[in-house]
Amino acid sequence: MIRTVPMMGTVVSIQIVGHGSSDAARIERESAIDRALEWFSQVEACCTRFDDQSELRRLCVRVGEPVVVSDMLFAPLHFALTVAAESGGAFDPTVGGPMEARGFDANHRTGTLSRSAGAAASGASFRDVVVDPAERSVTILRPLTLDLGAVAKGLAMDLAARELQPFGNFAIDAGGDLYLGGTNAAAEAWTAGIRHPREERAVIETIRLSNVAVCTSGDYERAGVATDSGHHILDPRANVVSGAGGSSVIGASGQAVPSATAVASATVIAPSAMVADALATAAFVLGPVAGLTFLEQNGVRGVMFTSTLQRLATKDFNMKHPELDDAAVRRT
Amino acid sequence: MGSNRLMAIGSAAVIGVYAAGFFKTKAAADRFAADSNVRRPPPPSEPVASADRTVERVTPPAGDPRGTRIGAGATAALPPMPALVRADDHVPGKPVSSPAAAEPATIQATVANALPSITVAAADSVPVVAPVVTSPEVVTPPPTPPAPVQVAAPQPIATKRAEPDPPVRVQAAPWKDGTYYGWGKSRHGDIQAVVVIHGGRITNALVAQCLTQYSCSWIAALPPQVVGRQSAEVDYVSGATQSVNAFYYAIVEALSHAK
Repeated sequence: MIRTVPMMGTVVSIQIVGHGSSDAARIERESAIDRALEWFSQVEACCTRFDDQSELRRLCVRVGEPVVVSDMLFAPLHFALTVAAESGGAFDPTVGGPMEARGFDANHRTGTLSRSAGAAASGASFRDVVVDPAERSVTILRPLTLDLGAVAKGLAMDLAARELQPFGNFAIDAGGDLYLGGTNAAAEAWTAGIRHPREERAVIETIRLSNVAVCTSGDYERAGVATDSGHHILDPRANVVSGAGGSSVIGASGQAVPSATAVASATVIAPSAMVADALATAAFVLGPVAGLTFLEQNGVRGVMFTSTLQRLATKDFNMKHPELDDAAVRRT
Repeated sequence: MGSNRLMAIGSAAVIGVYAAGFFKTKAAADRFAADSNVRRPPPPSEPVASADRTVERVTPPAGDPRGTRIGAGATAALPPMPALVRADDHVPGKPVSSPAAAEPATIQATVANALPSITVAAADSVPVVAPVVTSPEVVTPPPTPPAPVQVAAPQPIATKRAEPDPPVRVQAAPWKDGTYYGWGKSRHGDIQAVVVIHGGRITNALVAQCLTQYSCSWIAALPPQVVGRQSAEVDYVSGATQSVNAFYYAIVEALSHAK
């Protein structure tokens, strides 16, 4: 059973494998998928920057005072700020302002423009947002626009995955970010292809996965949809389109990587889609070498392809799947 | 090291939000909205956020319908997030697993136990079911599928139950039955989607036509790919595709006509 809905600016598909053919079983699956999709609705309503009535946007207009927010906003924001700190700002949830300035301010759902008060602010960074975990409060120190896009979608996927956990074997596909639970209909580990960064319909590599999320940040994402000015991943540190970071010249594999080489796509495998999505974005911005180091430091598996299709993978990326004997990684 | 820190916070965040459930989250958001309007100082933090709160367990009643599982209720008290996950939860060699693997047994058990016991006090505040595209090979959805139910846990939400539920703000609208068309743009051209609404739900969504630089044949196969296997060799593809985005915009536009 598979269902697909337009949600969070993309197409979300949820599949539950098998689990009985009776009416009762079918209704049970329908109900579970309803609940899983409802998490997407809830997270989107709370965390979108495209709706000035979202809790996120209402928070953004209150500068200089601690504001107690809901768990659904606090949790992803806290996580995003932590990733920002760990990545030295390569990932930054305050990138919303610069994104708007570059034209990424159209509501994916309605197509209407949504410009926030903090759009004109420049120079803001994650350091201008202070959270108090004990109070669940957030203090924004200067006008800025928060963007939890990738993190919020990842959170919704993780929540949906928990909702579907009783079924064991299921898959969630949110616009190419995946959570793959259990096995596929053939009772094998799921087969996930990594999109070829230069050929839309091609797969550059195939991996076997189970009970993990796999997310990819690419320079091809949404390009041409919002503006012609480039893809939608900004390097918050310089407010320029990212992908050319990393000044080192030797990759983890020992291969020379030109310092100017840009990342075309970064794929991360992690137990959580929120983690995988954020770290993929951070690695993409950090560049080939620094990005790979960042992934290894954070204990996730990842593979990156440069604009010249050079492949860089974490040391353990090719390891056999711990749960499945037949799992293997192969180049296509 | 960052190694387990990000993973721990990430996992804890998911567990925390899930355990808090819709109702508690929504209540907090609604308070925040009211607070925004009158510009009062922020309210004191919620009692459920206290770290020393004991977890309440309740006995699941027999014969409880599965449809009331959503939202987990607020009985699972949330200690400060980093405390939820131990740093050694992700040890090398341990099977990579879902976020559930990272949660302490107490929380896991609590959520599991608390869920079936939740009284369906808010059956009339059922969130609107998201619009749904049923894949062609899937049987037609049941006439009255069980909608997700907002549930209220006995404590401490019970005190808030006295207040009337504010309307749930969900984007999904009751669609009018019919067949609707919409266009979506991609770098490679435009896609027109046709969406069929029956019984207020999307029962089908297909590409009606395409104006792209490529052959229509592959785009015509898109909806089944979106809802199913995206290629012959793999189950799913990681990395967004332009065609998926274009299909999304086309569906959204079509649905705008169905309101």
